[in-house]
Amino acid sequence: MKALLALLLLLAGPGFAAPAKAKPAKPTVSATTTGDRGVSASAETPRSSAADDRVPLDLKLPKPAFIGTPRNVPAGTTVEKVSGKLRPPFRVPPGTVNLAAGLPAGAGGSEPLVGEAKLITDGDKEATDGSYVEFGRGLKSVTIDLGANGELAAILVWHYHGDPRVYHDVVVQVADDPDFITNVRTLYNNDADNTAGLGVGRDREYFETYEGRLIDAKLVKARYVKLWSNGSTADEMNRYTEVEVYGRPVK
Amino acid sequence: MRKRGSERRSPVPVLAVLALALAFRLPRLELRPMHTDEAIEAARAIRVLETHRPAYDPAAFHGPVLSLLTVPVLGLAGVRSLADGEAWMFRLVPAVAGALVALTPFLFAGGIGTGAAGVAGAWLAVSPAFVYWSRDAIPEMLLVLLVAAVLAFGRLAAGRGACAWTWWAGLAAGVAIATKETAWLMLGAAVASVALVPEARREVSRDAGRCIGPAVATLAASALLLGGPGALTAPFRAWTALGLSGGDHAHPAGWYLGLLIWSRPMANGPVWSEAAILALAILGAWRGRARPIVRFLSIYSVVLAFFYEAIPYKTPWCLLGFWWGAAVLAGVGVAETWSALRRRPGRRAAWAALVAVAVVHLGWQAWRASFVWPSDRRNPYVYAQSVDDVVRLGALVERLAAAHADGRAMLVAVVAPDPWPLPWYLRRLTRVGFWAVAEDASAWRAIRLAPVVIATPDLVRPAGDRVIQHYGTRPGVVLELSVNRDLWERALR
Repeated sequence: MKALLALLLLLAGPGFAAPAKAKPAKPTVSATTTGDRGVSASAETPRSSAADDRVPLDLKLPKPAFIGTPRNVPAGTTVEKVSGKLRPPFRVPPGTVNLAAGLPAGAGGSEPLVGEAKLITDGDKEATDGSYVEFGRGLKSVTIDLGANGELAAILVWHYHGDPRVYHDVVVQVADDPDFITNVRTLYNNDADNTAGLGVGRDREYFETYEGRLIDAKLVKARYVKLWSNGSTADEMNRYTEVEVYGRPVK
Repeated sequence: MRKRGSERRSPVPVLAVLALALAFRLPRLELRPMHTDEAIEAARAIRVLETHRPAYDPAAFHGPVLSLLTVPVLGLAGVRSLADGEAWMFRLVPAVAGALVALTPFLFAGGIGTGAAGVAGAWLAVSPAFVYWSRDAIPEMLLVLLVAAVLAFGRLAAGRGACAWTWWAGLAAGVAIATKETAWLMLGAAVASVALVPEARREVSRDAGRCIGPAVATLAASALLLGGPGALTAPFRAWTALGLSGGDHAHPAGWYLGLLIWSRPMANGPVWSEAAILALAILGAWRGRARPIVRFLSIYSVVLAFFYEAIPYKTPWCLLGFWWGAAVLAGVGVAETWSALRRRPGRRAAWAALVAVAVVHLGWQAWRASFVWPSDRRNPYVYAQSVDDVVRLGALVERLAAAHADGRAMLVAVVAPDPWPLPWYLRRLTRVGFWAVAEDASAWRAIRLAPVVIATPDLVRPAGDRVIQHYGTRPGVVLELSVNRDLWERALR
């Protein structure tokens, strides 16, 4: 303002020549979580090998990027209302670890517009620039090769959770081969109109939050995990902040 | 002062600037989703088409001029209702107005020189801000064009002592006032500029007795004729409070200049800058300070920027008013430096190359802003822009209607306090009801039973077996789409 005023007076000519986002961050939350309602496993689900000795799954959660219930949040519908409370603990067999930590993630030939695919499994789940990889418009997928078959207890996915948004056509599949031809099982599918062509999904849509989406994998055995999405209510881009695949190596 | 009126006038600079401006403005006008403001302007234009009664809208503070100019386009395109409309039809007038804005420096060629006018036209043709909002169905570009005409006619009147030019200035000012309320700020900046430039003050004083009265009468008559009494009174009654509080558009001082000089909306996005224009404008204001017109435009731009920066209410397109002045001065800066280097051909060539790089850089940014990322949040010119998801929602509802026995007469209930821009995306359906709340029991029943309900979900829970989906309309606004499962499954087949 002062600079503008000074410039104005300077320009007046003879006789007039007298003389210019930070969101509140909560402390990092370390919590235990439990499974979500509304999760379906359309494929065969093996029995638990240690149903009685399950222990709470320890999860390191990122900082919440927005507080409380977002504006216009649906109540009592297939989108889950953001409760503001932590999920109850999710119990897994002893020895369960994140099998995807640090592993390379493939994007089926899609080049990221922002970031690199390795951000998907680097352990950084914060809703900050530099923490996520962004793929382009439309239906996109990422695939994680666990290197060997694992007995999978839970899959956690964080898309972008910096603002209230719902990602479309979220589908999570596992398979025994990288091309997803052999023994493909769908663990989660909320693609109600079959846009992705993977079948009509009946799972719920959900708002992204710092807790991520926990998908009960029901101890399926698989080596490859594939996650689909088709833009969000905020834009057409597909962002992945982190994917964790909890399970135990199959001996 | 050098006399420039004797310079030989060639149409080539004018045609080159026009071609450059149109190349950025006309292609792919449908690319960006309709902004809420655009959807409202489209509905207003259709109302004028249907009723032949233009009116100033004191709630929106905008006049009917854009609608009146859009009606012939709609007529030529065979449009009879909103359902026939396409986005480009409503964006065409601002696009053409934006191209004409790029030609306005030539109106001042007698004072700044044809070379400076040509370069200024190039800045206006490729400035990302001017390109982006030329492709937007809002009245801002018309306003800038009309106020530039006021200044040009006023200068001609002062220079030639001919009252006829004053009347033309009054007419343009009246139409500007009937276009948008912020015309008052721009005209106020012009008056302040006259008061602060001694030569302008003397010339106005000399002709005031015989010319100013008729000009004011012309102004009032044209504003009243086009906008009605609201055009003259609404801004002072209602807009003053909003302007001073800022409402949802409150931004701190310095916001406009920050956007123009160095802007990076997201840390992982690119940096945007039109600083070249500002730097050259300061150079032009300094080097051309001996000329009254340069001092006049300098003060006009600074005063207007001061007004806009001081008022809490800020929408980014408002910056075009003072940025127009900066672009003209930037043309002066280039031309004056070019003249100063006439005995140094090497430096002159380097200067030309530098200016060319700046033009290309601005053009590249304009292309990215308007064609690559027209609705992306990494684009600083994107403001309260409808998200792409709303286009998807509109297409889906059309698909549902096609599967419904009533076709496009299928009942769609929209229950949301602020549904825009949905009326645009549902325009081809004939039975769409909009409720801010369900007012009575019968309305509530109809809403709940409608085969398709789009709602802020805490307002209504539709009856029956439903498929629920979610769609964004604007940043931070997510609505729930609720569809009868039978209909949903029919549409999928």
